[in-house]
Amino acid sequence: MIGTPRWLYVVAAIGGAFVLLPLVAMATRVDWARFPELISSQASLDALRLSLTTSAAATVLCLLFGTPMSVVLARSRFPGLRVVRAAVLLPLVLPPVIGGIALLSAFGRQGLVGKPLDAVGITIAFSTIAVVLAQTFVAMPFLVLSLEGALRLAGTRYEAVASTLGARPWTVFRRVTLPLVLPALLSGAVLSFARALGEFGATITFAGSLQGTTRTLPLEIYQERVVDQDSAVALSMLLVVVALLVIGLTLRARTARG
Amino acid sequence: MSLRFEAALAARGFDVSLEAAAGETVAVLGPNGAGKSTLLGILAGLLRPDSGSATLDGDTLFGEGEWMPPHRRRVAMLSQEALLFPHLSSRENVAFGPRSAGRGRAASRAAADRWLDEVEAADLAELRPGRLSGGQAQRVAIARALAAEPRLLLLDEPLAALDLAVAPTIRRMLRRVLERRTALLVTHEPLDALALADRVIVLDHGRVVERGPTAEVLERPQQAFTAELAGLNLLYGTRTVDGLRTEDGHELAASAAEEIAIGTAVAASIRPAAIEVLEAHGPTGSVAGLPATVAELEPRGGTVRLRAGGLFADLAPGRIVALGIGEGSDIRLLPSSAELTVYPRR
Repeated sequence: MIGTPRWLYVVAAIGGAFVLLPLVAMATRVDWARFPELISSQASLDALRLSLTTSAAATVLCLLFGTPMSVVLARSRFPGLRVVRAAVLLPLVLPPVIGGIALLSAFGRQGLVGKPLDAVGITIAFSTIAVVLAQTFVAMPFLVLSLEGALRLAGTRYEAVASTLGARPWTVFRRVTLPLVLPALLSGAVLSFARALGEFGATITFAGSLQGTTRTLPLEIYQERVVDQDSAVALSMLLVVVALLVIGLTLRARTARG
Repeated sequence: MSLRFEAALAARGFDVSLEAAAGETVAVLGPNGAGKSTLLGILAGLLRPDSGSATLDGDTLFGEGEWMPPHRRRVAMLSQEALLFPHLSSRENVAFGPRSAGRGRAASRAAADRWLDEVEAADLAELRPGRLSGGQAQRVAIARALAAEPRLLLLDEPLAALDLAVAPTIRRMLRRVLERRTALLVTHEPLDALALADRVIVLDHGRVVERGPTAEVLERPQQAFTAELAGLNLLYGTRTVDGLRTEDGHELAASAAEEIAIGTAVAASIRPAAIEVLEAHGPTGSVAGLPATVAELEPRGGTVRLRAGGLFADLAPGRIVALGIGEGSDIRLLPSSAELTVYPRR
């Protein structure tokens, strides 16, 4: 067996500690006796419910639109494809605040699309829908990145076989392409959900922070941090637990499948 | 004719025409890059040719502005790798074709079981491809291709990836299922062509260099290229009373030559093992045979393949030692007159 250089372990341990230490430190600062009370205020519960529902909705939107986008990026060839891919992945490297401003320019009351919509009585900005849009905007690249890579890796050979066996393009997509990339689809969806759950910058810019309507858990935590440190830390802990649950459940689902 | 095909694809230097009668198996021989995969890709509908047309049982596959998508062609493909869908059981894999054709779940299942039985893989029905051996997977793949009830079956080196121990069984199975079936068999193995095909087409650099009945083409090749594929030596010359005079003017005897007018252009083929290697100047001063210089000696299992003067001869290692020859030595090559097959050159 080829050995791993010993110093790699040392550096890896330092890296791991750097990630874990702040979380452990935060756990030590939680007022565990008051924990249930801290996280069950009306504002916190509202924020948690809103975060979960909007993140779920954003994940569904990512799947609905991200899957076709991944297929097009992985399978088609047209001039400017690389530019399109770069544009699709832009939110990944863009500061979320800028995403929020961009969304406002498009869907705000004075926005490109928002203005005509407003004229017919539909207002998006500073609504729950705006939260979902902001989350979808930042989370979509995670799904596309994961799925496009898997599609390229899977190649088109199985799809070719399926079509020579008489399967129409839609049947090939449904019965061959999707099942082959299902693991990547699942992990992409989980990543998107996690990213949506943590969304802050684009949300506060584009949707604001109205309790029960647009104030998601990260926004609530940021707000509480000023007035009630203990409550902010407790809610942060809650978000960590939710994130761990999501990752744990997916891993279990994947091992059960494999 | 069941299949008529002619197509050109400039990007791959491909320009081929061929025909296959209903129920006929045509082998397509050629080295890597000869255009075999391009041919299959165009037939299956996975590649678009620049020009040409093809009809199958009277239906236009492509040509004159028409284009039939792959799923409507009923042209099934069997590759070197089984390419079974990894997420489906063997039975579901085989049922894929019938299901795609719109048949019900139960009917497709029944058809799958029937075809699995046909390829002696009924016991594998429940297994996922990951648990099958190479030979088992290929059997299931054969069943899957046949269950789609193709009008044309394309076989792309179906035995190349299999263990030597398994290949004969699968070859026998293919022989059975290819009977009375229109099929194109791509291979670089003459044995497969002889065992499975009625006719042969030899491709090189995207062009047909030779075509005809399998035994005719492989035993009496016209082109050096075909001879090499068939593992034979090929000589050109003119018919003489005893046999032939080679293009270099050397006389060779052929005892069983057919009735060909003296002086006509002929070709002659001979197995590498039927060429005797002699010293350049025999003890009796004999100079019969073809003088040549050894270009290469290559050990092959129990024999050594000697390459000299554009010919191959197989001889025992002991013979090399006895002759005391190496690369660069001058020798004479004497084709066995009993084995030298002389036939008209076309």
